[in-house]
Amino acid sequence: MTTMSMGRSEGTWSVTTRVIVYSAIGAALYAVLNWTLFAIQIPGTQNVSVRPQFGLVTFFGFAFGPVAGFLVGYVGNTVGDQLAFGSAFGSWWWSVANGLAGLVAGLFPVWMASRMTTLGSRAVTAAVAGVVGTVVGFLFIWIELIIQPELGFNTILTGEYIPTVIGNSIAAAIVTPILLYAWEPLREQLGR
Amino acid sequence: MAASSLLEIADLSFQYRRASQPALRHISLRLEAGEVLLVAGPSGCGKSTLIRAINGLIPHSYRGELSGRVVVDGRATADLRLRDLALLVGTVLQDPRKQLVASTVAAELAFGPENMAVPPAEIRRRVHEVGASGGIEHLIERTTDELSGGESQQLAIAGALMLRPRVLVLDEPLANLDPVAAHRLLALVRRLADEGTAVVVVEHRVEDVLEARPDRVLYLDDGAATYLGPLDGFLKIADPTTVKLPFAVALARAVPGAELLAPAPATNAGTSGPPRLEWAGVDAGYDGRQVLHAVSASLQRDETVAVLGPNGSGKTTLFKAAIGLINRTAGDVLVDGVSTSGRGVADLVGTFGYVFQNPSQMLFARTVRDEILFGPINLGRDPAQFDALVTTSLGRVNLATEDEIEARPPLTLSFGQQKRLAIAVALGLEPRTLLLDEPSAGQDHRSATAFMTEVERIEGLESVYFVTHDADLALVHADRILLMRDGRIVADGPPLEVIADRERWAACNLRYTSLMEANARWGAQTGGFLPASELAGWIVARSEREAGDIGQALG
Amino acid sequence: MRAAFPYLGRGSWLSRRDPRVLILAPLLVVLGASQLRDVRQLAVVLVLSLGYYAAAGIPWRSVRLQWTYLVVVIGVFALFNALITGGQSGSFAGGATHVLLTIPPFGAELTAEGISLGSSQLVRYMAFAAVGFPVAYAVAPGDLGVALRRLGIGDRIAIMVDLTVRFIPTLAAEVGETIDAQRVRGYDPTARTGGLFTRVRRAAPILVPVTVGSIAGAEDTIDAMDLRGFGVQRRTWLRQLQYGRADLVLLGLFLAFVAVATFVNFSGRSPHYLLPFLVGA
Ligand SMILES: Nc1ncnc2c1ncn2[C@@H]1O[C@H](COP(=O)(O)OP(=O)(O)OP(=O)(O)O)[C@@H](O)[C@H]1O
Ligand SMILES: Nc1ncnc2c1ncn2[C@@H]1O[C@H](COP(=O)(O)OP(=O)(O)OP(=O)(O)O)[C@@H](O)[C@H]1O
Ligand SMILES: [Mg+2]
Ligand SMILES: [Mg+2]
Repeated sequence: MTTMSMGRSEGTWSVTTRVIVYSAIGAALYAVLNWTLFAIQIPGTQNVSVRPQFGLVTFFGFAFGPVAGFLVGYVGNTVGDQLAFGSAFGSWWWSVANGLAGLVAGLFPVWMASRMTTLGSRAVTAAVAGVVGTVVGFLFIWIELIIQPELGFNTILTGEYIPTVIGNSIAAAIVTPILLYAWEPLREQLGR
Repeated sequence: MAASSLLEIADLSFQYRRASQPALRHISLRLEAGEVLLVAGPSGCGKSTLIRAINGLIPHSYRGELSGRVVVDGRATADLRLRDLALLVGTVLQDPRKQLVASTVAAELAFGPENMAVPPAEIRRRVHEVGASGGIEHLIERTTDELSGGESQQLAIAGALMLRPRVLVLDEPLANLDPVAAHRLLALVRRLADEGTAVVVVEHRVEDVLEARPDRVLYLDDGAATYLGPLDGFLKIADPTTVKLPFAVALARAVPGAELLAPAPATNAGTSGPPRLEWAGVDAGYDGRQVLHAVSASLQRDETVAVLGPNGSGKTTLFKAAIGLINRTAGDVLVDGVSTSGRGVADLVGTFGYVFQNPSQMLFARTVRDEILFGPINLGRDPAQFDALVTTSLGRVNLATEDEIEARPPLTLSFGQQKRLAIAVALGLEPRTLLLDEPSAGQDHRSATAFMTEVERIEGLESVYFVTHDADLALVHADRILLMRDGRIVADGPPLEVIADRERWAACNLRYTSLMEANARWGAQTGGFLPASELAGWIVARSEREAGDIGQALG
Repeated sequence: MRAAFPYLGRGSWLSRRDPRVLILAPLLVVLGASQLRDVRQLAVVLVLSLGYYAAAGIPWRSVRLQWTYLVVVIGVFALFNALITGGQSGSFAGGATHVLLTIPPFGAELTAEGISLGSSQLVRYMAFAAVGFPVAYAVAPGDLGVALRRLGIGDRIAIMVDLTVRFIPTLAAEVGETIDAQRVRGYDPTARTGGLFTRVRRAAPILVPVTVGSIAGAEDTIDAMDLRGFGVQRRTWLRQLQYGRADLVLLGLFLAFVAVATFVNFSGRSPHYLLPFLVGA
């Protein structure tokens, strides 16, 4: 008699115990690393810095689905801001943007399922998903035009959107595949 | 069919989806209310798998090939939902810290009943009831992250009892407990059984579980039951190299050993130049919290030294202070007679190889080869030597024969293999002294002993200093024991000397094992602390000789 | 380093309030203060917020670092904004801008308007922080999840937030251990050499073991939750929350503030205020 697992319907959007636990781990790690790891300044720019740990957000999205991606980005950034600044409320839209980046990255495996046959192709897709997720997700910060009109279009573009997207895309493109390479063989082993 | 069995397993076999062979083969047993069943066997024999089959994770959460049935309280687990099973079977998993999901002790206890929608007033009543019977009432207001390993274990058990299960399964519950806490737990297990719960305990420290008076023993080997029956019978047939048995059992079954050579040489203290490592009045700690208090000790160049002490006594901190991972606030650390003040961690890398307690904490590379070479590359060693370096490092820890080992992802190795890889990684930097934090953690009796013996044979390695909770292991392998308590060294000397003071031993939350009793008794004649099989062999040989002498005198 | 939310405000007046009030307070202050531009009005908000903050009894020593970080980061950003916009995106009464100095290479101008605008931003953020801190330090551990639940968030997400808070100290310790483990292999986490890619990849020896190790270790946590019936039905919560009189009064005050701020905004009574000492009398 062969028994397959029962009582689990793992749709893209279902919030299983697994998704809850992975999201909590990802969010806690993202928060902790935001607080401990150094940001790397890109030489020759004043305000573009790369936080490698941002790759966690897109990795969790890519590996465990859009819900996990969103929760890691949103809760992780909120808690991280709370740790670093004491307050995450004055900039909630940044947390939402982080969450959306993870969510969009998490949609790629759904869209690209048929193309991702080898670990290599999954790694490439993961890098692309990370970058696209970042570019799309951070569009959300344009909500500042409404919330803080005095910032002005130029400040948001040159002071916020472009530097953030460059820095985070670099982190996502490099770190998402690195984590995937480490995780996939192990997932096979745990193989539930 | 007697309908009264609380737990009934009939011809159960299971093979994990990705596995090439079954983890359980044709297991059958019945357990009545009020019985305690001890499940023992070497690492990887299927103990945890059996537990998963009882609590329903198999087949509800793990995929694979299942045949046979598990029936709890008259209902097949395959037909019940996990939530209904949760009311029948309470589970404590192998690692207690990983199963604590709430921030406070009270919330942790409430977690199960909350999920079952038990009304808050009723939950509160149970929290007090279980808190009292589990001996954790004083912890109720605490947060879970500040609990010690032993306290976490007690909490995990109490959490499982909150749903009032009829069957309680415990996976290696003693692993994190010091003897005092272990005693309390075993008394609780016995009491629960006497009150009508059926209890299944997995444990390879058989000697330590005897206190809970298990009614029956199931011995698993490679997924199959090789023994199922009363305890006495088990003690007669069990293999003392795979499970830890009382010394009396080893003695009863011993074959006469060879004549002992001259007493093992005493420590070489002071015979060969300056000590390898010396703490001189060191104070150290974390964030203003002082852990080490004026610690002084010196370890020689060619010694094997073990550090023993209760949880949180500062053993790990002692090692970290030695190689400069934490800053000391007073005193000095000298390596080969030279002060380390102003020298960085990297400076000491050539002298000390440090293996952390948890190997997976440092494994990150894509292949075993990259993992070993990470250090040498960081330190700018000569790439021409790399091939030879990888081969010898792996060879020294018995990993070289593993298939395609160099190309495997490190994190896919088994725990024991990861631990050995961690040592290979340290050896790759060609240290002269190895610092090992808990080399025996998470391994069964056989692998733990084998591991230490392997390490001692590594050529080119002058000394090994290690931290452990396994007193027998320390006493057998070390030339010298450092006993720590509350950040101070309270004893320092050869094994037999350190265990002579029983009060001090107990004050460090350590227990006098049956092997220690025997060694304390015969030590003066054997000249050192011997492992069970050797000591038993020696005693038998000696009594035969005496019998012979008497025979000659008579004849 | 110890990244965690210690319960620093234990026993204070605020810690005895319903945790939902502590979560709603910053939301309402954000809602109100975002509508105000006049730095004098914002200063009043800041003073009131600091009064609220004081009721949380958080020892200054423990959060000094966070406050410094906040003021520096927001200050720098406000200055940057002032330079880029020259204050022109503000709503000042008069017409022409008052240039204080010009910064050579790009001809960016530092104007009185820009600085006034920046001050409003800085003061507003400090008020946000003042009402935000108590969420982290004066909500009893384990109360966050229930509070969110009672504010209408689902059971599962509320538990997820509780779990996140629960994992933070464990993972912070793990990160520290891993950094140590790699340092003894000659790894230097602070090295500033190499190109950008090399430097980002240098985070791998820390990121990979901690991330992948915790995911693999999560199997036990997942089992432990499933085995206690998590997620199959609507759950109860041991902790019961009940608004007390002080809670309602406090909430009423915050709501009143939002109402006032909204009125002030829509009646055009809060344009940016040009700091007079910058333009001379
Ligand atoms: N999730 C899994 N997927 C595939 N194989 C598994 C899985 N879990 C365990 N195994 C394999 O099943 C066998 C039995 O494992 P199990 O965990 O039951 O051993 P154990 O007796 O509990 O060992 P230990 O004393 O080390 O905890 C082992 O060969 C193991 O590698
Ligand atoms: N990174 C840290 N930050 C703060 N305190 C710590 C840290 N590491 C350890 N401690 C504390 O220092 C004390 C000594 O810890 P240490 O790890 O040296 O104990 P140990 O003897 O190795 O215990 P165990 O047997 O449990 O491994 C403990 O009370 C512990 O809580
Ligand atoms: Mg096991
Ligand atoms: Mg330790």
